[in-house]
Amino acid sequence: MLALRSHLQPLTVLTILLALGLGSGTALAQTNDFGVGGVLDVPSARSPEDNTFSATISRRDVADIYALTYQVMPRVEASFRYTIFNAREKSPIPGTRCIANASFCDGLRDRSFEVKLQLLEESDLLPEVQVGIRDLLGTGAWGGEYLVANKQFGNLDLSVGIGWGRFSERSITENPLTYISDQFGVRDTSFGLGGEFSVKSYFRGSDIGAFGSVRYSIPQWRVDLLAAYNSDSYARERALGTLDSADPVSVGVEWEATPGVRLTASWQQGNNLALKLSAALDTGFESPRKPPNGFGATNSPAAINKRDMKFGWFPRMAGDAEASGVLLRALQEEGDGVLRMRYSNMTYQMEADAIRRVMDLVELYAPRTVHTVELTGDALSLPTHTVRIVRPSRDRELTELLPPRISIDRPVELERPTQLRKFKYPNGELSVGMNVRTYLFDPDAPLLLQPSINVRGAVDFGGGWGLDSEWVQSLSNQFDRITRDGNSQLPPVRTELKRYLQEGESGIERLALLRRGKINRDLYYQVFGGILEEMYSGVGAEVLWRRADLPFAVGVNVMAVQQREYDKMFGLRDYKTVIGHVSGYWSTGFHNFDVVVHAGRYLAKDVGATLEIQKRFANGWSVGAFATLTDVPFEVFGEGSFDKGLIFRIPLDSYSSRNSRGAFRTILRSINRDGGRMIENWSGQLWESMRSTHGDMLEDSRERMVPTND
Amino acid sequence: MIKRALWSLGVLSMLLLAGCKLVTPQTEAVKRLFSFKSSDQKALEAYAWSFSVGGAQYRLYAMKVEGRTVYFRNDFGMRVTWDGESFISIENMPGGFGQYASGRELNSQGQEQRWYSQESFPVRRARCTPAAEWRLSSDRFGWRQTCRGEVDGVSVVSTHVVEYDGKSLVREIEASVFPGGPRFILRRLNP
Repeated sequence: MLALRSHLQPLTVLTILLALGLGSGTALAQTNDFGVGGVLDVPSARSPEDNTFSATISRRDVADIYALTYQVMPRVEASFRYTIFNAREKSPIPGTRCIANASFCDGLRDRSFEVKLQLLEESDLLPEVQVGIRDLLGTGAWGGEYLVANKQFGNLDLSVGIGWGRFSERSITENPLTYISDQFGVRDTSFGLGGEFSVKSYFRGSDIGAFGSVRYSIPQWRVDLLAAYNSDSYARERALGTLDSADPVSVGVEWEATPGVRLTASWQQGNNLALKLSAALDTGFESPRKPPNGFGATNSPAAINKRDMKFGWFPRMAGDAEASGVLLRALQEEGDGVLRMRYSNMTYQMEADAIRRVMDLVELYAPRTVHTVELTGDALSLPTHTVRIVRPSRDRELTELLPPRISIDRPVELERPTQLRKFKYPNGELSVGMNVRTYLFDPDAPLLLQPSINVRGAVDFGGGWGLDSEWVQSLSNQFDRITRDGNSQLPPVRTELKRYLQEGESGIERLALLRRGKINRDLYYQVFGGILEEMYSGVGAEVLWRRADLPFAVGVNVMAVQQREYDKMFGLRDYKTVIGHVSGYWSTGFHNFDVVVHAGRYLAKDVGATLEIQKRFANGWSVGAFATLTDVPFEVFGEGSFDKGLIFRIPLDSYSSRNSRGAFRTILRSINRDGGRMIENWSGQLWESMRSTHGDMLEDSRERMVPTND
Repeated sequence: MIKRALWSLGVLSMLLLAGCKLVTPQTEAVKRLFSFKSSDQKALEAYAWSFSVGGAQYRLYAMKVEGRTVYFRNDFGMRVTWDGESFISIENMPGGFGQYASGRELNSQGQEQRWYSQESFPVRRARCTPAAEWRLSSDRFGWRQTCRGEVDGVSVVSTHVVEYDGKSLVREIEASVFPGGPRFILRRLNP
């Protein structure tokens, strides 16, 4: 059986992140030009609601800024931004232009990371107070810290703050922290290779400055009037000729184009027009339940298989389940009114919605003698959990009185199935989709694109054996414009990306034979071999111990890999190594945080550990960050000092009226270096694939599992 | 060029955002202005009902009324008949539900009861109470009845509920198609 399925991939990382407003769960985020809560070019003590994710683009004479911001916890806001200084290439020398990186021009491309913490919540008497560091890990180009307070008076929101670093350029007094220690009077301006905490510069310097802002809301017009006084005099940009002068006062107007999407036009520094666009989404939104695919007025009716009719209720139920995206693999009817079924969720982003669909069909077809249903679900075709549901009474009043009785446990295997869904092996699935690959943050070319057709194939040979493959066919690409080489002191395990992009624009992305199975009830494994990813072929194995009812798991993986030829066909290069990690996984239950630690040997033969922290939601969203420290010294690692980045998983059904398990998962690295690198998409794959079927995720959505009287 | 591409992409994304957010009342109104439905389709929409069961929802149109009996159907051949109290026939519902019919008969004690027939399932029977009126407000009232029967050896209960609006037109019909079965809900889509 070969099924042809089309899938839509997001056009680019940037587009999808900016397309937040298209999805469910829009949120309010009043961001400033830097992407954090604020007004025009100054910060305020306002932050969006917990779990709000926003994307901001601002365009000013000084710089174009692209920012991704996340409200990590109710009191913590974090933002990553990429800045193109002097984007209009203004030259300080009359009659010249800033082309080809002219040394007399400001051509800085800067990555920075800002954090804001709420110290005090607003009350009738007291203002909201926040403290922030604008350039926590960067090069110091935006270096500045601030303490800011906000108070709301009707539609008027007033903000006043003091600042260090750039915020002290218009000094009002000496740094009060020098009363604690004279060390606060000296600000360290050496930032090395960037990427490190510049502790010796935070809140330091001889003076402080004062800034403030006003936001007046006119709700009936969905408009805010803005004014800001900035104590940053843009001395650096004036010295480099980007700005001739910098008035401290800026004014503007902000319009909420549609919920979650805001457009700002402003007159800044008394001499330049600035624009800003932002979009925000609540990543923790409750995903709306959608009708089952294939059943509905707007869809073709699911085929009625007349031949199966005489076989009774299970074939009917299994047929309807399959047509709506849930495979009922086996059924076991117990004499005591317990119905056990093994199912596979093929379509629903939330496992609870697949369970609900089965329960809806149980109500429609199963005999009333069945009072309890046990559903054993899977991930990667391996049983991962069992949900036991006491069938709701058909007596409406009684059902409303009694809460649904649901228990979630480790998977229970069906020992004597009375009905089996038979499959012909091998069977497979082919999917064809559009993709646009991006190459980001190169100072010479901050964004390059490669639209392509991606053809993915998966074959199930039965018995846990399978084949996973993907071919990328380039339609056109801009990667020939990349000129920078990796220039690494380590084995170039990743920094030869340029050659892979230029010489292997079309090629095999993956072609791996694998076998997955269970050693016992809680121990899962996979062994695999072939072309594992864009740059490496090899063989490997992964073992994971996890229980659906426990918040932690432990895994081990080992891989012997060899670097591929740049043309991304079957050829191999000389570099080979063995990597392996011991991994600990913990779903903390604290603000939806997952904590993962991988410790072991990496591709450049360096040894160390990776810490991943992600907020993960039952609706399919996850947002997180990771950092890897190995025995490679920072100066050997190069720019950025150590490997780090952001992790996103965006469920595609948020953007569609149909159910879909599809998701866009990406890692956003500010710098592509060789230290602390793993094989993409294989290390920790078992845990990642099974995460949505874990007990806490199912518990969070247990109310969705049971048919109600709505 | 690169900056232009970057900026254009951002602006395009934002325009896409604003443009695709067509759920606002203003844009919905604009969409209606440029609706290209034929006059027949528009006329049909006045008789549109939603028919939902088990999370699935279908659009049906009230095509014919004979006494208290109303015949609904849609463009892919699904047909539902309501006799003023319960659904007496369902045909061509997507999936494996099969042909369904229901009617009334006298039992051995001479009492009226309902029978329910669904393809390949044994015939089920139930006795229903007389309809009892309920009223929440002048534009929310109706009647309900309870049906009791035995299915697969288990005693089960189901209800039929009909709700009227202020013009005494049926707003919603709710009924189990057999005792102990899931509720089917017909809801008028247009006021």
